Amino acid sequence: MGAEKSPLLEVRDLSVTFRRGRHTFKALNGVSLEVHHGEVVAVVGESGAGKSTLGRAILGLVAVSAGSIRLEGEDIDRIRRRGRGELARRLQAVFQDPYSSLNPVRRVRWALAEPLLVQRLPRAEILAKTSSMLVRVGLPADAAERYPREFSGGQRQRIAIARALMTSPKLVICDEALSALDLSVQAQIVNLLLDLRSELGLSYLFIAHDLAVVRHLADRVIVLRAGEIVEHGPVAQVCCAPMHPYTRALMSAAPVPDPRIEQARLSERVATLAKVSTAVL
Amino acid sequence: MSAIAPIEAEAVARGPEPPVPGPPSGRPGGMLRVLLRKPLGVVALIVLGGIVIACAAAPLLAPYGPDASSLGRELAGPGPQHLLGTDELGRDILSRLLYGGRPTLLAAAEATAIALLLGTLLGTVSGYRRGLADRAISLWSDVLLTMPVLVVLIVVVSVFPASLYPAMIPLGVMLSAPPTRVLRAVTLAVREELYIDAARVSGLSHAQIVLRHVLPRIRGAIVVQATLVGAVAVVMASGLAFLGFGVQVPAPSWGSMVAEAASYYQQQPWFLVPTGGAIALTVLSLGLLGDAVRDAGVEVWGGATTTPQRRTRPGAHLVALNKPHEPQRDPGRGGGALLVVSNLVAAVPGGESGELTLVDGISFELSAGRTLAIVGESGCGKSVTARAVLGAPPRGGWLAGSVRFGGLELIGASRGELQTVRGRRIAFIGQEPTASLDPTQSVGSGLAELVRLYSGCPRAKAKRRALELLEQVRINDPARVARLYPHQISGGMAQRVMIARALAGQPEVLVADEPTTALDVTVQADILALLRSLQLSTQIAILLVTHDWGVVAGMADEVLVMYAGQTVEQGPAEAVFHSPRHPYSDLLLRSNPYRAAPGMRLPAIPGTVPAPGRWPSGCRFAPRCPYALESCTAAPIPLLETAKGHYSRCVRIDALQAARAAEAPTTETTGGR
Repeated sequence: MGAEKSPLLEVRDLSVTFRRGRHTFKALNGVSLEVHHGEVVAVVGESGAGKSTLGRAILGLVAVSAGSIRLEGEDIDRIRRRGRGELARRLQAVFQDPYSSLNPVRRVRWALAEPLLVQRLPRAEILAKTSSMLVRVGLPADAAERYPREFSGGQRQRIAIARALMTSPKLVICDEALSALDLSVQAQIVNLLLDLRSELGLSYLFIAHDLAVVRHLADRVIVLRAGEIVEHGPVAQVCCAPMHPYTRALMSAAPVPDPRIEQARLSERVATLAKVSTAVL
Repeated sequence: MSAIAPIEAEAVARGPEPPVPGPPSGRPGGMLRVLLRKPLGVVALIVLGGIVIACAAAPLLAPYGPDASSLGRELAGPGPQHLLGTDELGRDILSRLLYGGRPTLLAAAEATAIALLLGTLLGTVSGYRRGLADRAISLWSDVLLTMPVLVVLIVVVSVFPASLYPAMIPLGVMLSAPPTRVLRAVTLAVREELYIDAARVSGLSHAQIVLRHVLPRIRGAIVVQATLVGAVAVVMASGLAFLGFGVQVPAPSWGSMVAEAASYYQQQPWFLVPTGGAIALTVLSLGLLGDAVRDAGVEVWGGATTTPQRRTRPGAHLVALNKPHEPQRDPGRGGGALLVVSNLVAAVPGGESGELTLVDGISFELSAGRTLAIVGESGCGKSVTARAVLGAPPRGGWLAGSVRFGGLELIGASRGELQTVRGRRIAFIGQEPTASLDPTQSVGSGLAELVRLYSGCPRAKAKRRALELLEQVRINDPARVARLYPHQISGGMAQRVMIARALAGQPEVLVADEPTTALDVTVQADILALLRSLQLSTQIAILLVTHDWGVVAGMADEVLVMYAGQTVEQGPAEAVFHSPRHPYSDLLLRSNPYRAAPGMRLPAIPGTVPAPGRWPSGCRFAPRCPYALESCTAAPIPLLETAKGHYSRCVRIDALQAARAAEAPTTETTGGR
């Protein structure tokens, strides 16, 4: 697929360095990845691995110290220079905390219209699009006239998704978009993301720490550790037959809702603990 | 003390699980509307408005001209002809106050406007841009704060002696420093919000983001600053006039009138009351207005109401709540159990009836060496239940029912009785270990202090015991870790330290409220293994609150599924996982992507958990339940034993089981991943 057509997103040797006083810290070190049209690529790893930094670097929210990011073969900085909103038309984001991602003093209508404002669309068109998008993500059209605080976490995340889709982007970066949600609501949002993907041909760069969700949603998985990719490949391979010891540790640590499997794993870990401590004593 | 402090601190900080904010009674956005519900704010607004309007309309309202004097009536007290009396030249004080307010208030308004414009501009730029601009602006504010305000003003006034207005420009500039600093801090916080990032992703320019997002968000703070600066400006403008600056003699102003009153203080003390009173009243109402605006802002955007904390337990409530909602049932009637909770009810003030039930009749028991997991989504009352086990009511609320522990009733127990139990016999670990540790104390000294509190042993022995405890929670180099401070250790390490602290009193029961939710999976696995191995060696009973079925699967002997404040299912872990007897547990288990075929839609539960106070009558899950019949909503459903030790609050178990049986073959094929 990548051979005949340039990938939707192509990241090459991306590095991000943070500076705190005299100390520098490499949050990302030479990360390369591709997202093809209609594909869901998951980025997993533990806290501090650089998952979110990767998403924020692609979105232009943190400064890149080395490497290149190309969207549909075009350098992302060049797209940005062509005008405000150029990039927003193709690349959007859904963030983790639906309580923080909507301005509490503004009505929902206003939040949804914002991305289109930069696109300079006529007012009537914006209004029509707002209502239809709200219905599309499973909210009543009259939600537009209400304030974010009148909605539950799951509903707010629907609003955030609706806002991201207003410009009809090709790629949506989901930065832990499901982590703040309860299980039953999380399932609703997973379904919504799946539906939108098949209807609109969306691609997701899905940043997450929940491996069960990743296994369910993703086509390919990238495992990050301390700012570097330790393993990447199709979801079935990475999740079921991981090559790298770190990936293996990650997969076996993720608890599964089955007492027989989980209790066996736990007893094994307890036994290891006992062995270690007798060796120490 | 410090062992209990985290529990209480957390209980106070979080209180009940936040109810899902449904459409509230007052529409949000109505800052003014909330303000108008505050009596003091309303009074302040009326007084201030009245003063401003009266001064503005002085030519219409004043009974006399500002300079009209009635001979022979000098320095008169209040009377029918002169409501507030007359001054030394027989001029009407009321009229002169009305006319005199005009230059004073106008000058104050000028200074306030300059200070706010400058403060808002510099504050938002400083907080939003950060970096070099921030440092430059902070330095500028510091310089302004060091300026001798009065000296600068007197210099300006002596250059422009005719009027106060020129002097108000430097005053406004100097008064802009405090709002600059406050608004910078507020902007810094707003800037971290994700909607700012979302706006940037949408391509908005920085100026647009400040205008569209930051300014509306901080407008409450701007209004509060306006009242503060306004009050100072009124005092400064009056003060200058009092000193005789910027006044042209016969024309009145508040400050010069106070000066006149002061010089005739011996003859007519009353003269000072209306003149000084006008200034005091204006400044006071500005202050009260500022307070009310600040409180209104908290209510409108903070979500929480500022209901005063009520820790009393009104007897009437207890009686009302103690009425059994249903026949007493078995799970809470134990023989050899360590902890017996029966018909536990927790409520907070609020709602239409004056009380909001958060936990509605939970019963369970816990024996040594066993783990009971309470599972459910947020807003179901899990955490409130966990804290109630320590005798801690939700914030501002109260408890009813019974929590019996080793012959002691914890509900209604005195503080002293609770102290003998909390930490020493029932310990607690929470979700945010780093936040629960005292940042000013090293890990080791905090732990040793706790050991001394519980056992009263000498310092050296407590120190040794602290190191033992750290070793017990499998910390590799206890001596080194003991010297570290909470900010120097990772989340996983902090949770180990919390567990060590919990073990310090050698408790029989450990209440763990989402102990691994904030941790990475590999760290979570280690912490769970640690808890399990401690349980094997010490026979500690664990009450585990979690939303993660995977954690439940590994740890729990028994599972209690909560929904909308009630137990909907309770039974042995194996049975709940493999043959759930309540549609909620069944659907919640299925919502987990682990059991679904990749890429397919998940069997999600429609809707959300209803907030306390919005619980349906009858079965509370019925509105979201695929098996619900009309009869489900008619009356409360009792919790009944459906198999040995397996309870369910459902009358449609047969339908659920039929559906599961019909699906069984497919679950087998997809379940094996």
